[in-house]
Amino acid sequence: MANGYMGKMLEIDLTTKKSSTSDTDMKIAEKFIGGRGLGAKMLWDRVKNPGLDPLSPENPLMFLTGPLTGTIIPGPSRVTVCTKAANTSPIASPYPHASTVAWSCMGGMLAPEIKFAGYDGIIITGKSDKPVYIVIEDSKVEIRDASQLWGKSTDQTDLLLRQELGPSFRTAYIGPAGENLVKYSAIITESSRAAGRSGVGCVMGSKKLKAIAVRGTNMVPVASMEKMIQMRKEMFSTLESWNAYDQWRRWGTASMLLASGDAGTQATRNYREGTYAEEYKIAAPVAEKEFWVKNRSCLQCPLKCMKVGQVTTGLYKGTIAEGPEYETGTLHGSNVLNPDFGGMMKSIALADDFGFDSISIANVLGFVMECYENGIVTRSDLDGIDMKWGNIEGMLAMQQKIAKREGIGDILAEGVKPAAAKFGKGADKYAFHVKGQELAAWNVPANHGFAIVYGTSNRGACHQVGPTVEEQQRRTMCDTMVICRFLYYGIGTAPFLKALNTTTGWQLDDAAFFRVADRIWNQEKVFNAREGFRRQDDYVPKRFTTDAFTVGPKKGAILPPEKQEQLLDEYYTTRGWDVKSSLPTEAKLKELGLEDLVPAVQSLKA
Amino acid sequence: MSDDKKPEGLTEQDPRYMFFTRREFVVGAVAGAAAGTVITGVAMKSGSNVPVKSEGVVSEKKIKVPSYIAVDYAKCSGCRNCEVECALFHDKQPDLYKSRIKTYYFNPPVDIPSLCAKCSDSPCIKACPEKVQALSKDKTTGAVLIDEKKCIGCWACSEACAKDRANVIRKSKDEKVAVGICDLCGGDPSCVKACREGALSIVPVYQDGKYFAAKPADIARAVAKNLYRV
Repeated sequence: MANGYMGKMLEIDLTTKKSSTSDTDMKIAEKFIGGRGLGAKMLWDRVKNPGLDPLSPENPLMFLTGPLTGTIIPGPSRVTVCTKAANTSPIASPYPHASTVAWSCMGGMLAPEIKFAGYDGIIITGKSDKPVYIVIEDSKVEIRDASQLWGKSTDQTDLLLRQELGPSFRTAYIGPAGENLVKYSAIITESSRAAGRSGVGCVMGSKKLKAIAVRGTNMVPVASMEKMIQMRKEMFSTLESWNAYDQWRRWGTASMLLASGDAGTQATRNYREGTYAEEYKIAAPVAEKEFWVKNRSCLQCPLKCMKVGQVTTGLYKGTIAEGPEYETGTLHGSNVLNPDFGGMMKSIALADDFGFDSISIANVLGFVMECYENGIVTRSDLDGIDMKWGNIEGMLAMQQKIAKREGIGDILAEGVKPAAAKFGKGADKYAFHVKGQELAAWNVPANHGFAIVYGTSNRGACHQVGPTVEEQQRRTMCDTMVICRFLYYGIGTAPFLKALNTTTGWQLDDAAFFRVADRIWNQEKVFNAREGFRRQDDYVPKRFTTDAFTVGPKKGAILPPEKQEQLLDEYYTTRGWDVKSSLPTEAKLKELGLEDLVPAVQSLKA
Repeated sequence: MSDDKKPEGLTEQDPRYMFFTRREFVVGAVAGAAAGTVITGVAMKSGSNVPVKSEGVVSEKKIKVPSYIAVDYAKCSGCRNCEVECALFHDKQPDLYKSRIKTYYFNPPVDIPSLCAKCSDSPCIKACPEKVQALSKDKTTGAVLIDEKKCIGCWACSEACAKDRANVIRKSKDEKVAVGICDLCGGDPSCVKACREGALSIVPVYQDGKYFAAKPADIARAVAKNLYRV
């Protein structure tokens, strides 16, 4: 067994209901490491032809970990779900089911438990005829009938699994949204942590897989335990001396709710503005004073950035929810012009319960509100729901419709891009997505780097990937080692690289380390290119380049169209890609040891 | 309970101070007494007002009287550093299966560290067969100690603990000896030192520990009731 790796992948075929293990391919692991990187490579190897329907049995759903996961280093606890995305599409493609790669991660305790059970990852293929859930206890794997769980909210599912299996099992599951194949469904763990993006819950639902539960009793092998203990001490003390340490512990990402508005970077009124005048009513100080009950951590993380609370006043009194985080707080607050704290938390709690991607669902709600305001859809089109700005009851009712795919919900369950096409009448002006994935809570006109962040992300609009190639390399390594970025900010690259070497016994230097990131990004890019994605798919929504902000400290801010062109030109050049088509060059692929991709790229039309 | 919540003018042995500790909380919560308000009050502050302990700093002098580890459930964030440090101290490797403290997540969101309650009537020691006598009580700290060489793996102690106490004693992975009994690290518990949230503290035993030897699920129900008003 190689150090850092458990040496096995667990494969479960839901069509035949059989499970097996295969050896983790260490040649691939050394080139792609884990998590997002390993996922990109394994997806390419398993999906031989472009245009695979992401909801078909052949699409693998992979729960992956990294070599540091389950060791005594804090941070690498984010299980990464890789598959072919359910929610993305290119502007032009010969394949009706063309979509991007998908990687979606969540914190909590599941990733280490998968390692403790003896696996580097769990790969689920096929499709069950009836709802099932999977129970894994070390080498024992059982596929069980899930009829008693099907239809249940994520919170109820969490409770029922816990009652049945006891607290030693770590679980992940989908809600009604995933069951009903809402394209932007999430996979949830610990009742509100979500692998939200990329529609991974929809892929899980298509396999009729309600949940997985894992328990393990093994240890992760490392090259030098003594050095690991030393590293652990150093990392904790570095983290504790970080000047943002106390801030993270106290507020989590919620501290950015007010700061982002001040900087004019907050999604407000369906991305029309960058600052919300009433943000102070729903931001972190209110949450701390009236709502938060306790903090929660991922394995060994002292930042405990997850805040859980209960609404204490008003119509939604009693609601227990997680957040607000920057993303959920902005999208269920500022972006839909909702100044009611309790209502916002109710909307967030409901999104988690239905098992939506909380980002996408709130983006969809903002889209509907703006379409409604501009007469593109009427109240009768919306099954009688009054979607005026900030109407909480409307938001809750619409979530229900979408989760069950009833009436208007069936259209909106596809995401803003297909819904706008269906509505017509210029609705696409209000559809804020890139490659079909809805934008997150950061706005673009006063923060032009986000044109690159959203535009070039290989999974469609995603706020996580970084505004420059250099930053993208760093963050790709975080995702690949399944490290949380918040903690990485406090510790830095060098200690994690050292930890990787200490764990595995490898001797990667800085250059080799970042070449891995470059390799992963190009691997993903070639997958997308084969599906038909090109430069034209890398643009942020047009309104950012036509309508300047009208309020706030960044009033007048706009993304000039020529600025976007210039940013993309520079980006592709730095990447070593063809500027016109955005395709990776032969030289670049060879430099990265991706010779096998050269014929695939050469066969593509620019 | 950490020192910052200690009512003024009371010593640790004072029953009114002890009211704030785990045993009273669990007893109170299970019996439906007023302890809930205390826990809620603590919980509302836990986001902002948390003492930070640095790792490796010797924070307490070694235990000199029979003691147990009290838990403030409202402060626990479920990070499991206590589990890791416990395993590292005892085995020099992070075999969390053998950790003598375990932290469980329950729904609604609560995190429950679970460990030996140091019951004064020690049903585990009583259950150990007379000719085996693998379990004994540390005369200074009051912790139950296991002599793994003597243990025959009959699980009588484990059954006694499971029957009506905290259910912390389990079979080792190779099913040869009992594991999970907290030995208080010989008087300077690693878990307490590892906890950055102030959720764990050492408290002298002043009454029978069996009253707070509750199972994690039962504690979780009581804590959730107090934290969330459910």
